[in-house]
Parts: sequence; structure tokens; C-alpha cells
Amino acid sequence: MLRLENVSCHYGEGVVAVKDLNLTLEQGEFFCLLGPSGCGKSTLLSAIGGYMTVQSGSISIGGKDVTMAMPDRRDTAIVFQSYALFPHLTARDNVAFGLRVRGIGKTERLRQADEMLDWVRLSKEERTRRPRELSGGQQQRVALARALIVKPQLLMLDEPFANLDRLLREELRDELRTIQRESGITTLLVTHDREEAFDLADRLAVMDSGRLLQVGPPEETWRAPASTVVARFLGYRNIFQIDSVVGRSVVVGDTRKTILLPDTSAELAKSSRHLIIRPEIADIRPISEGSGGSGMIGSVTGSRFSGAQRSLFIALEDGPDIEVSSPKPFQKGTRVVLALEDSSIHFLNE
Amino acid sequence: MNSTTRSSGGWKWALIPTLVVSALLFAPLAVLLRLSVTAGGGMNGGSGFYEAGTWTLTVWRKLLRDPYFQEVCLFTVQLGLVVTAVCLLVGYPVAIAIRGATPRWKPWLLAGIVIPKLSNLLVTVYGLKLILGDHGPVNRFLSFVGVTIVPLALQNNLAGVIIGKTLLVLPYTVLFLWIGLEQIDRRIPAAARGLGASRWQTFRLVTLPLSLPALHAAALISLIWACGAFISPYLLGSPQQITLSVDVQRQMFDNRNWPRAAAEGIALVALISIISSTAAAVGRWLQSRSGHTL
Repeated sequence: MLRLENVSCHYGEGVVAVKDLNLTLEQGEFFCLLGPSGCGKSTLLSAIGGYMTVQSGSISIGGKDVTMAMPDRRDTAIVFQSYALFPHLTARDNVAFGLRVRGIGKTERLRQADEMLDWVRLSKEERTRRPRELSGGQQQRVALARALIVKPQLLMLDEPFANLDRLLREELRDELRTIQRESGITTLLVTHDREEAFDLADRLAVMDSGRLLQVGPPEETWRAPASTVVARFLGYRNIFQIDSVVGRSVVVGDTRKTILLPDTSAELAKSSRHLIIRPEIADIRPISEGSGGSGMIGSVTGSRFSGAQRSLFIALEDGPDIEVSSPKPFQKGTRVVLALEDSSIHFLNE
Repeated sequence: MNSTTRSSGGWKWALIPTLVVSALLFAPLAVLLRLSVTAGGGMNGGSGFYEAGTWTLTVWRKLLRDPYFQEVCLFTVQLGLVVTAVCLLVGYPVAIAIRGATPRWKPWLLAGIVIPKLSNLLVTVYGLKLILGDHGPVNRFLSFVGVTIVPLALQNNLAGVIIGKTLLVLPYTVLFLWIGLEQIDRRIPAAARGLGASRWQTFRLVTLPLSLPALHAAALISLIWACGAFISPYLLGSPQQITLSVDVQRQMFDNRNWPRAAAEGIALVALISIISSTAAAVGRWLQSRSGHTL
């Protein structure tokens, strides 16, 4: 559907925002570009939309080369972070705009706009209002309807939920997914929020410094991040550089601290550069319960409670400080024993 | 409570400049008003410029029935409207170009607009006389390329006034339009393009309606400047077509009729007030209307 080949974009003089990037989107796919601010993801969106000229490479949409085409000849529609609604037009006229410029008569375009606004659930009364008289969530719906009404081949959304409060964000996220599945429109969403990307994407790409670091389905990407940068951006905390491996013990970093691995993992550690301890799989027990078998001993130095999740900060004896999630609370200072399994550890060759 | 105290304090500070400006505006007007109801002056038999201490409405009675005065008023307004229209038509594309310019070019373009205003008005206008004259570069170029045989009369006539006045007013028009255009979020016209609007459609349906407040402000300021025109009609215009400002000067120094000059001065202030408030009302009406159409 969308095919980017060796695309490079420069911002101003010499600042390279997108570097030699390749990406292909399938028909009907929901694709998320995930990356920190300034990674070039919005620039890439501008380039695909035709608001920025690419310095090299080619862009094709639906099999048609649009590398040099103007924005109105690309059959794409963008929902901007600021929505960029037309402030002088009512919500209804905003949505009908795309049909107006295609020469569709007033009655017909307003009928279609109403249909679209029914779909994004904007009430009859709200449709006659100007954008500034609508709430953030309502403006967002109008922006989405305005983009969808022209039936673009590619829908692009630039941080569409960034200006909304959390509750509304999750609600609109569900709505967007439903609408996308129903319409089957190929969608490219740009975000810095990994939860959003995990939740929405069929596939996602982690982007940094103008390059795609890893492309794949959310679960796969989460399970096997390809590099420390990706792992860090996805939210992994316990990332350690492997210094040397002695038996089951791995010396990490330059502090001479060690991590005790399960037998089966030791061999893999020798050929890897980094290891990640997954937060959700560490088996933690208080030491008083009589710790059977081997494990690492540490003490709880603190915890963070965020509703659905609880994180424990543990200082390992002879080992580094780690952060793990735990269903049970632990008193600060509690001594615990921690046993790692194969599935608790992810090795990186990079 | 706190905010009330603060705002009333701010009001007090605003009072001083307001009083200064009002005093500078209304005191001379009061003097003019007093002068306009004195007798004598001019060639109508009086000896001096006016007779101090007298009270009469003669000047006003004569003035309001004088067809020459009405003609001058009409010409002043017509010239103001034409110059405003030319300034908007020329200034809008210029303002659009400045807005679209890259950061490197923008300061130069703006300087190009503003720098002529830094030179002396008389120098500018005399320079213009040289340029527009029968042997000036404009006419030489026109005859060189064969467009004209006889030099075009570009001064001491209406064309000269309009060219001169436009050049003097244009910087204000452009600055007002440019500031207004800069206020428009660039993503809004960009969104229109993305929805399939051509450049022209984007301009007509988005940029133009969004720039109406700027056009309104620019039109008002241009109109006020253009209606007060003095130097251009005085130096570049025909002696038969003069503006109210020029006539005030004539009444004062040629006719030595100070009461009449004073009355005309007041009439000019009134005229500009009426025109600008009418223009403001028309502008507001247009804006409120345009918002509803699609």
C-alpha cells in the first residue's frame, strides 16, 4: 500500500531528520511509529503527506509514485496533533470541506458529513458549533471525520491523543480502533506513547534518530527487543552489559557485580553483549519463608504503586539494583530471594 | 478581590497616557473650534488672519453650502478609497510573500518595506517626482521598449497622486496584513491541501477568510492615512484636484482665512472619523457573514 524506499529528509540546513528509511505498509494495516520526540517520526509523516520534499528515495501510495506530488494529489489525509480544524467553519462544514473542494453539491456533502459525524458520535447540536466551542475530544472526532470523509487510501495521525486527558484518550483509542477495523483504511499513527502503540498497532516500528530500529508486531517487539535503545524505549529498566561469564555467574557492567543465571542460559550469555531481566517474570519470595533452591538474595529498597501495577526496587547482594513488578506488597527492608528462569531473561547481541 | 485591585491599579496607570493623548488631541481641536467661529480673515475684507474676540457662525454657514468645499471633500474620500484599494491589492500578495519567505529572506523583505519610511517624507516625494518625470527612468524605459512615444504624464495629475500616496501608505498596509497572516496556524492551510484542496481553493476557502481581520485592520489604517493625504496631492497632484488637507493649507497661507481653515480642519477630522467608523462597521459585518457561509 505504502512503500518507502531509501527515504531521507533534511530539516533546514544539514539537519537530517530521516535517514535512508525503508518501510512497507500492507493494505488495511494499522501501523504505529513509536519514538521519542525529535526522532523524525513527524517529519516522516510530513514527507509522506507531501508537506516536505524528500532529499532522496521514493514514496509510493497504492502503487503510484507520489515522491514529487503535491499534498492534494496523494490521496492521504492527516489528523494533526493540534487537529488544525478550520476555525471559521462549523464542525459540519469542517467535515464537508474535503467534499466541497471535490465539487460535490451542498446537500450531498452535508448529508455525507452528517453520516460521518454519526459515526464518530458527535451530537446534532455540537455539529453547528465552531471548533473553539468544542471540547478537545469533540475536536478530535471532527478532525477524524474530516479526514475519513475523503476516503483516503492512507490515514495518518500525528500524536492524535496527546492533548487529551487519560480517560478520554483510552475511550477515543478504542473508538479509533473500531472505526479503523470497520473502514479497513490503512492507517499510520505516530506516537511517543508505547502503551498507545501496543494497544492499537497491528505492527509497529521503533524509531530513533531518523532510523527505524525495529519493525514487528507489538508482542513480538516487546518479547524480543533488538537493541538496548529499543528495550529502553519500550520501558525495560534492568538492562546490563555482560562483562564476563563464569559458570552461572555473569559479571555485569564495570562494577564487578554479578547476576546468577539459570543453568540453561549460561551458554547464551557467553555470546551476548547485553542482558535484560524482565520485570514481570521474576519469582520473588521473602527469605523468612525458607528459601529452597538457589537464587539471588537482596533487600527491598522501595516500591512504586500505580494502580494496575506495583514495582519493587531491589538491591541485590553482590548484584546490581533491579526493578521488578510484584503482585504482592513488600515492606521496605525485607530480605528476599529471587530466582531467575530462562524466560525471565532476554539476551541482546548488540 | 485580588484581581480587582490589580486591574484597578492598571487602569490608574493607563489614565496618565490616556490623559496626555486626549489633551494633545482635543486641546488643538478646541482651539480650532474657537478659531472657526471668529470673523474676518482672508480676502473678504478683513485685515489680519482672523479677528480675535469675535463670535460668528458665518464661516460654517458658507462652508456647508460651498460646492467647491463639497467637491474637495468628495475627492478626498474618493482618493482615500482608491488608494486603500490599490494598497490592499498590491499589499496582500506582498504580505503573503513575506509570510512564505524563508527565515533567511524574511528580514530583508521586511526591511525593504520599512526602510523607505525612515527617509524624510519630502525627500521621498521629490525622489518620486524625479522618477516619474518626463525624463525620468520610468518614461525613458517605456519609450526605450517602444510602449510610448510621448512621455506619459505621471505627475501633476491624478495618476501621480495615486502612485505617490500608495507608496507612502503601502508599508503600513503590508505590515498590518503580514502580522495578521502570521497569526494563522500554518497547519490549517496545510490541512486543507491534504484534504484535496488546490492552492487556489485553499486560499479562497481558508487563508482569505482567516485573514479577514487583518484585511479589515489594514484597510482601516490605509484609509485613515490616505484620507489625510497632504504631501502627495500637494507635490504630485494637479492643482485642480486637491484634498481637504491641501485646501486647509491654501486657506491658511494663500487666502489667509484662518477661520475657514480651522473649520475645514475640523471637517477633515470628522470626515475621517465617519469614514473609518463606517469602514469598521462594514468590516465587522463582512466578517460575521463570511463565518457562516460554506
